[in-house]
Amino acid sequence: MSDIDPVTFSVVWNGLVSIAEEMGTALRRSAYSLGVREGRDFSTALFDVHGRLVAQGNFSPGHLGSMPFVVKNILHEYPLDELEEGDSILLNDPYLGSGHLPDFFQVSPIFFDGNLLGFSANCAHMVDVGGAGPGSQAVDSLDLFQEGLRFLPTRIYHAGRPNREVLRMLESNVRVPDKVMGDVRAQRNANRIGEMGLIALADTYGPNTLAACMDQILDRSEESMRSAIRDLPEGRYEAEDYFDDYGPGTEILTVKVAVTIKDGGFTIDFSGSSPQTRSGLNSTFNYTRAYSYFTLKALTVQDRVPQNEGCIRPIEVIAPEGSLFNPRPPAAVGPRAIMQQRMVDTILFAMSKAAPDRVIANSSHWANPNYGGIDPTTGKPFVYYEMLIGGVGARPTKDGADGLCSAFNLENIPVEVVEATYPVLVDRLQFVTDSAGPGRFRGGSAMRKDVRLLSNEVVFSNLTDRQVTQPQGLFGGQGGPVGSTTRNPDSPGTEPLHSKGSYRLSKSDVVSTTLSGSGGYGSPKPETRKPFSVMSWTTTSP
Amino acid sequence: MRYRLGIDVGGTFTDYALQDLETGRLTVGKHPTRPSDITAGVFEGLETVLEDRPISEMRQIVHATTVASNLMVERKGAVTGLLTTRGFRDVLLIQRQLRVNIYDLFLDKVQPLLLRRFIREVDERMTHSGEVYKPLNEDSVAQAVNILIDMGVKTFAVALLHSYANPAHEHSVRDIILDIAPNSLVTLSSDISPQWREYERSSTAVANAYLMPAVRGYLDSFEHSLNSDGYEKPLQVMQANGGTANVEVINRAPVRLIESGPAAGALMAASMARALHLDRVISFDMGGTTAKVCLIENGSPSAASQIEIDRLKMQQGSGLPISVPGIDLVEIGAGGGSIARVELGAIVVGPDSAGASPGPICYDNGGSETTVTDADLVLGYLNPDYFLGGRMTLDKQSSERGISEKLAQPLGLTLEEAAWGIHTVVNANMRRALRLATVGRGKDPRRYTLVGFGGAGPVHACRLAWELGIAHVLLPSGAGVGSAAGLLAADTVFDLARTYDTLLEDSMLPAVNALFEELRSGCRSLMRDNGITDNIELSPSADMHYEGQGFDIEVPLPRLPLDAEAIHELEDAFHLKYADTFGYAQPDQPIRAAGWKLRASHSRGEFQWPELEPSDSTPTPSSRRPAYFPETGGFTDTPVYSRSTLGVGASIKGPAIVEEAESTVVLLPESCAIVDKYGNILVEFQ
Repeated sequence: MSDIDPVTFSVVWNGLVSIAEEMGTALRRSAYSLGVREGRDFSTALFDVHGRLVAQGNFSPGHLGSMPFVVKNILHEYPLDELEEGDSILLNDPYLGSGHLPDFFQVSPIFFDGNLLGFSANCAHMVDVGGAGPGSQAVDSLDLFQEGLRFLPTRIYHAGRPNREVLRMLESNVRVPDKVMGDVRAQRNANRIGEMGLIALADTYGPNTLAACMDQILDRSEESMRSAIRDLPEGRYEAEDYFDDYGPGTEILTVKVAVTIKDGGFTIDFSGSSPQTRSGLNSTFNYTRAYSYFTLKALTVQDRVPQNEGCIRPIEVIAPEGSLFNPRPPAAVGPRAIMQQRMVDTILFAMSKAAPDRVIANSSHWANPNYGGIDPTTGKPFVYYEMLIGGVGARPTKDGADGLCSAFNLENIPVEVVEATYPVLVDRLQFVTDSAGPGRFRGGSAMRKDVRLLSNEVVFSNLTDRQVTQPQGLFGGQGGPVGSTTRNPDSPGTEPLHSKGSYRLSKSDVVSTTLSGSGGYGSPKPETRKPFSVMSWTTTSP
Repeated sequence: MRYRLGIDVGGTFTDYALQDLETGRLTVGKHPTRPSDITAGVFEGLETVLEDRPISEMRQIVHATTVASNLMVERKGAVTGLLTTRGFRDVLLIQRQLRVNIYDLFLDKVQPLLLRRFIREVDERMTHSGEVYKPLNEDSVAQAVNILIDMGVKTFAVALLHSYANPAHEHSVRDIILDIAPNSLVTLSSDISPQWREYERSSTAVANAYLMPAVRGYLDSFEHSLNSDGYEKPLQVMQANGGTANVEVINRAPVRLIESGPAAGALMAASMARALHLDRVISFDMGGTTAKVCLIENGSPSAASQIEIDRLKMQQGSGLPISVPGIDLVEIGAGGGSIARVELGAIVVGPDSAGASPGPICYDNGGSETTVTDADLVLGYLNPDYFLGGRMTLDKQSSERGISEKLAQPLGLTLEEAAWGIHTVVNANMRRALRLATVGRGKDPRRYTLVGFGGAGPVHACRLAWELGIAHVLLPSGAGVGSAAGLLAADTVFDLARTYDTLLEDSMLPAVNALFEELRSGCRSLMRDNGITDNIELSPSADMHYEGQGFDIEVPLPRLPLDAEAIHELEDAFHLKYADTFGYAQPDQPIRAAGWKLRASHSRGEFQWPELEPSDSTPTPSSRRPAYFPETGGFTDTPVYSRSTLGVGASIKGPAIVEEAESTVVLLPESCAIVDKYGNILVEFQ
């Protein structure tokens, strides 16, 4: 295998990564939902004939854990000899896929001269997949069946032709069928781009050389990941943190992480964390793996090694079955997206003992509530999927960034576009003064957003955390203040709303979300923090 | 007055192009830019280009400059204040929250042009449909303005929510500022960029206010110096959209000046494409640190509705967005100076560059990095004794040593294999940029002609074309100063745009036609300010998408005013263009349009490229040297021609090398080249 010349190897690797990126561009440009278009809540990937992930576009980290296994899961249902050119297989089962029903995978086999060459796949977040709550991620679901439509691997395009029966069933069971069907078509486009790209590579270099390059990519990536891990001191490093609760009237949840570094490998163990909950707040094992991989990569090779199966070979993730981080089906899982920040926070805190100069203090927690109702101007249903991002925890060498996140990636939707699209008026969107955890370097400031409803009968499913437990500082840095959700702030009828409650609201109600601030790094005493150093451009002081 | 002059002030060099309108002859020149006093540096260089021609003989002088871009990148503009809607003070600091590297916990956002304390809120609110939700509280404005004036602010930006839909409140705020401080400069977001997306619009307004004092000072003094030397006409200045405008117009909207330099190169390629009647051209400009790619269709460079400045590692979305129309360039960190190294057993090139100083190892100027130029030298493509026309000698042995130590030995390759590897990998990077500019926009690169220029462009263009299946390559003469010639090819162009979000249906007609009346009078008055009243071509277009989608496709409007019939034509055109871009259309889906645009252009007549005399001499090589071509088994004895000796009609078969002062053309085996009447080299693969 090592007789591939380095030039061909370089060009093929470069080519695979750029095909995965082109797939992402195609998906984003032809997508319908704001989540895919602006939120970048999708990823794209290429696989070899064995179903091994060889290149992944740098999009949502949430799919890092499920993507490497998705082709194998699909092959389990559809053996190779049943697959044809032009097929596309849909999968959104949270346990086989990416942890909740809105994440739709499509996988397409790629053939060259009649032989299997590999697979192209992508995953995108659908704005709604039916179920009890708009957006299909309400916290108060008791099991998966309340959360919407579930597809085990299902062929929705067969030899290039759409499977109309299945697609019609999908269309008739979601709240915003135009957007969902549009996104499903966009996913098919993206796979087609991947298919054409991979065939062109095989045509230029030959399928055998291509396959040999893929082997080598995985080996080199693994080696490089292992050597980065060897730079860290061996040992077992632990940390503990919490979720406020999993719905109104419920108790606090424990997140326990132990990272072991040994022989160029990571073992990351969530044993001791709370048991799975009777709510949607559960992280399937794939999702737990995703954020474990993401955080460890951020601490080591970052984007210097493009993502593929080789990068994750040195990482073992353990979470006991039946626990918060490895629930048994059919536990509900819809709102798992707000669990990722805590996984990242806790792993970083565990690693603070091994690599104090690479970790950051706790970041703000984000909010991901949904508003659903009927738009009075069009008479049609709407689902407003809100994404509000807080600040980054303080870093070893500088303050945390204000109004940025550390656990994933999205582009916010401009207020002017939101107001032209949904029946809401945003009263304010601003940093919260003095919300940064003090420290030698302070945390990033939190954000506040007030949304005024312009339609009646709105179902509001709140989804956020850190309204009870504070984001913590590191090495003497202090924690950031907790956040809150309030109905009609600064007015007589004001009342607090629970971070994971569902409410029926009406016209003129204002929902005010204040995120938690992020933690500081190092002691904030004057002898360590220079006076007035806060007067940088990012300061939130007046 | 028999001359036209183009002056392009770049970061390192200032390029000049002088055309004699009687003979058509084009004279070019290059002079180092003097950053401490740009105007003085330009006039020094001017003397050597003009020789004894008096400046009063200039019919027109067109100027491109990096002044505005530099002020922004170096954060050296004026102390600026921003007035915004209560509750939205942090729009410029929150930005779009994108992380260009998801794994980097130490990432920061781009630094805005002003500090938070220079941003003040006023009480008011508009809705997206332009209705007043909360009237403007004038006292809150006066209070904010007074605070900012006390802080030393003399130039103000005003960016209120939804002002693109109704600018009344911004107008009132301007009146209040000018009441309090009549000498203040005021930029309204609804004037400079009446389009939705509050961050981008605010960022544009702030940049304009921030640049205004310094740009005015620079352009006024530049024009004054020219006038006092005898130039009688208004100085023409290049804009980012590739059109020219006079100083007065730029002084009001200096953001139009940002990124005007890179536009000029694409204009040169566009002008050449028109002269040769090439409908589909890819402009490929490869310099020392970056390569820039632009699509040119039917003689016009493709346009972008927004430009970005001060990007992090050239990554899209990492810089300050400026919502003025620009030329749609894909820029990547791949140039002659790009550094090659080994990572994970693979060769990696760029985006870091050795720059001009210390430069590649072969410059023998203290540089220790192996670069693309070193590889091109080892492969025999470059002549060590004739770099920059012999003004510089390259040290080939250093290149060989560097490539051996840093690449060949670690990878177990021979020297040639390693050098070939660098050449191939940088080509792969550029192929990615070319695919992004074509396939990424729904275009098939094989249907285009590749125009290669810039110092390193002609070395790599043929190989790139061959790899992408492009059959025709055009290598213009004087590739190194192409952008200055591009200035002479520029028309006067203004782009105005407005946001009005609507379904494409008959009921929108009154509002859209009224909107275009405003845009039309806006364009007319800009033209009038440039002394132009007739021969104005108006091109209206709209940004459209299927309802629910977000990615816009720009479609030309069939006519103005629009009527019901025109809407049908527009729908058909959109479905077609959508299918062209994404492979299928959705004729049953409703269409929305939000961005309405009007381009006004005034042509000063097509630029006449000077024609060379036909010659029947057969080209003879000036020398021969081994150059590396895998097709012919590696190093191959290759004829070397001097470009200046190639007459019109001269035909050469590859493999061959053609040397000129600014660059070197590498012709592949199985290709043939012919010199056209303008001195361009046209390459075809057999």
